[in-house]
Parts: sequence; structure tokens; C-alpha cells
Amino acid sequence: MKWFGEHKLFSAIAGIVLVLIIIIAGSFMTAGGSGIVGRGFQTAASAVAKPLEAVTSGIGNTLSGIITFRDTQKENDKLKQENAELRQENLELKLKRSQLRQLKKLSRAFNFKPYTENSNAVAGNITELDYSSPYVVFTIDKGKSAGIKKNDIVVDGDGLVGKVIETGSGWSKVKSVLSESNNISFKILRDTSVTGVLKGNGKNALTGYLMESSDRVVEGDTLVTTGIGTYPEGIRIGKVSDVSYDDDQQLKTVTVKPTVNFSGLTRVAVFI
Amino acid sequence: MTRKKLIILYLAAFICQLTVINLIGIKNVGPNLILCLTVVIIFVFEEGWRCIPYGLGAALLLDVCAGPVVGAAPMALLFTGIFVEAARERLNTELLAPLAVTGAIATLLNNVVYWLILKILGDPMSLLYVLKFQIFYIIYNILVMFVIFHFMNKIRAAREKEEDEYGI
Repeated sequence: MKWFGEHKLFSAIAGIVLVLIIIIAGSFMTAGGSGIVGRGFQTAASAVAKPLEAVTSGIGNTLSGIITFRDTQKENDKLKQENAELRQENLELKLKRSQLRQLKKLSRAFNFKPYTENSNAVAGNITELDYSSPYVVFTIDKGKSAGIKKNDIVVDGDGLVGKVIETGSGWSKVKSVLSESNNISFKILRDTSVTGVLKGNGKNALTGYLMESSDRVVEGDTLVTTGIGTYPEGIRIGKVSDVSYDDDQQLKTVTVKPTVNFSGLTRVAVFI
Repeated sequence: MTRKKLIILYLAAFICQLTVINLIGIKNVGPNLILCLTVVIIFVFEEGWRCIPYGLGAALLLDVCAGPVVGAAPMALLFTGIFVEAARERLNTELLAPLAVTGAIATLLNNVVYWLILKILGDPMSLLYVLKFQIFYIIYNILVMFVIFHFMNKIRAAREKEEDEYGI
């Protein structure tokens, strides 16, 4: 004890480091959770950030409206929404009828409920996003009261965004699919018999491999989730940007660029 | 800097970081206000290191709201703060050039330590990818540091003048 008294500065720094290590470990054990105190604070912060975010996004919209003309922007937003709806429609139609029947049979057999039939979506605005770090983690303005739970899937009009890692009263914290260290099961939209697994590669993209090396995959192929694991079936993940063969592992590997533009996210939907 | 002023400054920085800063951010890259504030206060004031606990608090809150793991940002800030305090002893703290160099190294150190913590916890982000964007973070942070320095320097000058007048 005497030694600590003589080395006050060192003791203080060591103490702070120790406390932070405990906090980090605790947060890591709960997959990014922040504990009761953190959740309470998050609720308060969201209440402050929500109106501020509304003001800043209002300023942002006005500024871009001045530059690009407001009407054009409105029209653009409308077209984007229409485009997203049509793409979703197109995606559903692409699943052949026979495959659909087969899938429905399987769904019944395994008591599986695909999100397109049985899930409800809750739309949320991004209220807190830290631009000072390359890690895409953000908070939306919808929480437990809207029915959102931990691990619920987050999407936007273009595809898979990520999943909810923590939720509270009026807020939910979302981690992007780019930081996903667990495998995401995928299938190719062009040929749904071709399947594989993906995960974040730490370079703003996803990397994975095909289950069968003999399967054919080409650059530009669209990948969707299979429904195996955390993510429900039929959500667009991204497009194949590179295909290669790993001689060591004897696997056909793919690099996938997400369809979602993470730098332009302002509004997302959560499947509850 | 009084405790009250520091609390207000860091709270304002924390709230602006998650909201207003997004207005000037380009492609998910923006300045780190809490880091900038900490670096400038330590750099400008003799006992500036006293702001570190407030900075750690603000960084912790930032992690709670928009961090992949709670505690990583304050840990990175602590090491950065120690570096800046050690550096200021050897630099002319009235010039912008030493601040720019300190700010650049501090930004790099902060982001690398942050990356390292997340890497240990299994995050897939590679160091090369993180380093690729550092130049933008450094430019943004230095610009913000210059603005904060301008105001802090005025406070320092006023304080020094006051001390001279009263012969403290």
C-alpha cells in the first residue's frame, strides 16, 4: 500500500486501465452491451440526440436542397423507394414457383417462418452515428416499445444492414453486417442451389466460400440469405466482386460488396 | 479550466459528435471532437492533463451510444492523453506547427489503439484498411484542433495577463 502511495500517478493510471479492461470485458461478454447504467444513459442520450438529429438532418436536407433543387431530391427519394419496392418484388418473383412450393413445404416441416410472410417491420431513423471511427455502429430511434429485441435483423431498401445488439426504451443499437464475425449463410439468386458462407473481411466487404467448389459463381452475381442461422431468408446481401480458388483449403472463395451504401444510411427497417 | 467548464465542454462535444458532426462528415469520415478537445487542452494548459478523466467519461458515453464495445474509446484516449502530456514538455505550445504534428500522431495513436482493442476482441477489420483512412481523420482532426486552439489560446492569454496584473 505504501508503494501505491508513493507512486500516485502510476497507481491512478493502472487503476483506470484496470477498470476499463473490466468494462471492455463485460461489454464483450454481452456482445456490445453496456449494462444497466449504460442503458439508462443511452435512453437519456437518445432523448437529447433525437431532436438534435432532426435539426441537423433538416439542415443537411436544406443545404443539399439548395444545391440540387428540392423538388429533384423529393422526386429522387420517391423513385428510390419505388425502385427498392420493385427490386424486392423482382427478387420474390425470381424464386421459381416450384422452388417456392418446395420451400414452403420445408418451412412447414421445420416450423420455419420466413420474414416476408410473418414478420413485421419497424422503420427507424438513425439518431446517433459516430463518424470518427470506421466501425459502423449506430443507434436508431425505435426500441423495446416498438417490439424490437436483441438480434432482430436490420435492413434498408437495398438489403441487409446488420442486427440489433442492444435495445432500450426508445432506442436500439445496431451493428453492421461488415463487422459480422459469425458466418452468414448465402445462396446465389441466379441459381439458388449454389450456397456458401460469408463474414466481414475487415475491408468494408464480406469474404466467404462456396459449399461446393464445383459450383459456378461469377462476378456480379447477387447473393441473398438462405435463412439458416441468424438471418432470415431472401434478404439481399451484396454482389460478388471477386472469385478465386484457395489451393490450400481447396475452396472457391468469393468477395462480396454489400448492396447497402453504409455511408448514406439515414433510415432503416427492423424485422421484429 | 474549471471542472464545470470541462463538463460542459465535453458534454457538448459528445452530443455534437453523434449529431452535428455528421453534417460535415464525408463517406463516414469525420473529426473526433473528444480527442481534439483533449489534445488541445493538454497541449495549451500547464495542468491540462486534468481534463483526461472528463475526456474518458465522454468517450465512455460515446461508446455506449455508438461503439462496437464499451470501454475501447476511453482506453485509446487514455494512452493518447499520456502521449500528448509527454510531448508538450518538449514542444513550443504557442505555435500551430507542433500542435499539428502532435495532433496527427495523437489521431494515429488513438485509432490504432482502438483498432488493436477491437482486434483482440475478434473484430475482422484489418490494420491496413484502418490506416487507409487515417489521412482523412488526421486532416479533419487537425482542422478542428486549430479552431479549438484559437479559443483556448485566448483563454490562456487572458489568464496570463490576469496573473501578470495581479503579480501572481
